[in-house]
This record gives sequence, C-alpha cells and structure tokens, in this order.
Amino acid sequence: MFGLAIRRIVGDSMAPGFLENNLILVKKTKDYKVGQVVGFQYDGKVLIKRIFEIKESKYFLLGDNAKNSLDSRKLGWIDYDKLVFKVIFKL
Amino acid sequence: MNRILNKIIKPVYAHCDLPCGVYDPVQALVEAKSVFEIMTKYPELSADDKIRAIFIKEQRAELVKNHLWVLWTDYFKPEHLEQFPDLHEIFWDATKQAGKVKKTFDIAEGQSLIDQINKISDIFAQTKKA
Repeated sequence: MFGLAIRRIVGDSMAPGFLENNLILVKKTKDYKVGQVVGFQYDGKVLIKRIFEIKESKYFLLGDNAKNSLDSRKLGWIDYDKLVFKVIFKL
Repeated sequence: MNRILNKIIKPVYAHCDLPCGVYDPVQALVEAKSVFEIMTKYPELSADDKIRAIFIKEQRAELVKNHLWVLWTDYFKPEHLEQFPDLHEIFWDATKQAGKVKKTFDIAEGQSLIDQINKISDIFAQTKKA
C-alpha cells in the first residue's frame, strides 16, 4: 500500500543503527538523496546501504559499519535502476 | 511468533565482509611491475612464450585488482576519506586501469598502472603516520 512495506534485516553491516532482525519500514521512490539508507538489487538479493555520493545516476553506497561491510568500495558505483526503496524508519 | 514473522517479512541484507587485518599496497605494486615487465619483453619473445605472456599478464592484472579491492574495502575507513576526499576516485581509476592492461601491451598503460598504485601507496603511508 502506497509503496510501503516492512522488511527484516539480515547482517551487521549497517550497525549500530540497524541490527540483525530489526524491522524497517521501506518505501518505493524515484527520488534518492545523499545520506539516505536505500535498498538495491545485488546478486539476486536486496542489500541495504547508505548513499555516500551520487554522480550521473550512479550511487556510491557504503555500510555504516565500514569495518565490516560489502559495499561500493568493492561493488563499485550502483546504477539508479538497481535501487528499489528507501528506508523510512526502524520499527 | 518470530518464526511466523520471519516467514511473512522478506529479508534485506546488510552484507558483511571479514577483514584479515594485514594490508600493504606493495602486493598490488609487485603484480603491476610484473605486468609492466611482461609488456616490455613481449616483442622479443618466441611465439610460444608470447601465448604464455598473454595468460600470465592477465593473471597478474587480476591480482592487482584483487589486492586493490582488499585495501579499498577492508583497510580504508571513513576517516581516511575525510583526509583524502578523492580516495574513491583514485581506487576506481586504478582498478579500471588494472582491467585495461589486460587488453593491451602498451607500455605506457602499464606504467600508468604503476603510477596509480604508487599514488595509493603514498596515501597508505600517510594514513600509517597518522
């Protein structure tokens, strides 16, 4: 409804703000901004990371827990069409 | 209750990576120098050795990529980005260059890869001093 959904977090790369099994409210959107936590498609799964930089419809996404995160430092810039939602808040 | 919730609510993944804690750009530099040397010697090689050289150069270039990715992903942290705002761009360019040298025997491209890794080595050394 209204593009809203609840999702459950698996993994610790977004700690301390988002921890394993936390529930989050997410929303489909076309408008992403630096600093937002977003979901994107990668390898058949949806990953969540924070937008660090936007350049020409490509997004550099980083985990908040930088010491332990698989993100754009390894995956490179993520295309706009891979983004699927932004996180509204943690439940 | 949790089991039911886990079945109903789709997961999203905050994927992790387990760093080993030992880092040094010299690994990437050694492989890049190997690529450069192969490029230099290539014209003088026999036909059989040229085939070997193509394979070995490709392997070494891939190793450069992997070593740079490990540094980029596991060693460098947000505080380094504040100190070196171009860090992502520098790594992006260097790993792209490692891909480029697979496709060419142009010595200038090999030297460019070495130069870019040296730039990363300088940044790495500065982070160690801090």
